[in-house]
Amino acid sequence: MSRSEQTPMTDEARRELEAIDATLGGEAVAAEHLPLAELALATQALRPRPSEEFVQALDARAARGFSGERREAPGESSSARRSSSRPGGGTRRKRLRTAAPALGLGLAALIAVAVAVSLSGSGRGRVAQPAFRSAPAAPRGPLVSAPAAGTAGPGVAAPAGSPGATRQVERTSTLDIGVAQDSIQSAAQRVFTMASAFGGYVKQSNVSSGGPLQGGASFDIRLPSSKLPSAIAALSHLGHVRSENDTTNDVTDQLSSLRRSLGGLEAERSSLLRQLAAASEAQQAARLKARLHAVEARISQLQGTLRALTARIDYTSLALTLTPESSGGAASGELTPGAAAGDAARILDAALAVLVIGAAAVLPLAVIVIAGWTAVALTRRRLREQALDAS
Amino acid sequence: MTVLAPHRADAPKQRLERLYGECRDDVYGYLASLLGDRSLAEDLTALAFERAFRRRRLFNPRRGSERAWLFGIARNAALDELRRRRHSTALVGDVPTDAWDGAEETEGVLRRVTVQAALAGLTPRERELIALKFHAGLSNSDIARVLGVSESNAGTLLHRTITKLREACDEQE
Repeated sequence: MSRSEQTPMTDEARRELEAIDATLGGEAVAAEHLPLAELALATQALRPRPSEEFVQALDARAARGFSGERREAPGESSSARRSSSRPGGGTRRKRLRTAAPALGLGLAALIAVAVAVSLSGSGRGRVAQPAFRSAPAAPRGPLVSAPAAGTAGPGVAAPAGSPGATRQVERTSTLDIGVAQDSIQSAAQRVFTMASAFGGYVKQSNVSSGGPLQGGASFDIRLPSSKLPSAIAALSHLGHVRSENDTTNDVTDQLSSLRRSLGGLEAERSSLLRQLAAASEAQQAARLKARLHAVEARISQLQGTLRALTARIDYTSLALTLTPESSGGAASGELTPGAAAGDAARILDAALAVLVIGAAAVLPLAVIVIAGWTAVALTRRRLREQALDAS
Repeated sequence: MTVLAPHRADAPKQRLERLYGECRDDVYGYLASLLGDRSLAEDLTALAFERAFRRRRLFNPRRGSERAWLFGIARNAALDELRRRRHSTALVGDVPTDAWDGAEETEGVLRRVTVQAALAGLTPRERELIALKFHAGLSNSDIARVLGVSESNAGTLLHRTITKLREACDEQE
């Protein structure tokens, strides 16, 4: 007898099955089906009936909803049999309970990632958070990063290995500030005022206007290095900081070398002057003058280099950019329903993106799991049927 | 007087309590016939109802009647147990019959003995069909659902098995 047999039922077979159903239902059947009815009743009469003891015990368990009882393997001791069942019957539920916290954590992590991505992706938080800040300064090197804006100054503490020495640092900074579109002009004016207030000056500027979210302003500002942190903090109030970058270059050795060279040249010039004063021959005097001119030219050159370097140490170059932003967003620094709605939309966008990415990762896994589960279910079913055949 | 609406979660439990009342003896009868072991049938009857109570919220009416669902649980439990134990005893043949009613006519007793002997000659699958139909009292559609075949196929299989049983009884007589 195969499970897949699909032989159509004949009319006679259908009538006989209906006669059996009628007999089992207590109805009368046609005379031609009486032998079949007798067989049905005789077969039905063979039905095993449960004992009273078992029925009472089972009814009691049913009244309690079969809950909170220890499960045992069928066929164990008769005393335990009344409340027995397979061991591990609740294992799957227990596993689910155990896995629930992990699933919850995973879901929470997914939500956290979604929110984090949305905030970092938009880069338009109300709180001024630099999107990029360089790492703390390395001990030495031709180009090192600044420790932080707050420690800026022409001379910074020496790194380990150079105890007591004052390092000379050349510093450059970039600052990108998001400003409402309609506030670009006024913000640009305030940049000039602020630069002056901190003892600096605007070396170069460019303010442009255009359509929505176009235009903007850029400034090349020189600020006293000692006042750079305060100046950046003040400038940050023009809008919200989109990005900030500080770069430092330790020029201590370069400065020392320049000064040594300059000292040597000045000593040579003094020597030449003394020789010139003592020179008796015109030819010798002419030769000394030529050398003196060359030395003085070199001194002048080195002094220029030294001044430029000192200026770069004393004054930091700040490249300031004012980037226009939608005035309706929270990026303008004002908490308004429109700004909040904009932020919420961006968060939802990012959350949706994360969900899509998550789905892309989970779907193949789900297909594998479903295929595996189906294979397991089919195998289990086949084994069950085999168990019946083998019984 | 305030009448409280029944909690939604209680509805499946109430339905299952009703199902328990209707099917308790049928489930036992089916399992005892299938397994040929009354003690094991008792254990598995309890296990089947316990699982049914635990999974009552998973029942889907679109996939068949509650009765078919319950017997599906009982059948899986029985077959799993057969697998586990590598049960080798004959099914119906070993089931101790209930004590004969002394008032029963001799002809009836002989008829039952004949049917029992004929049942012993059937294959396990055929005996299961008989148990589902005559001891569990399932309709053909419920039998189809329990066995995972079409209703037409279940009817064909059932009729074929009954015909075989009838022929075996005729041979016994």
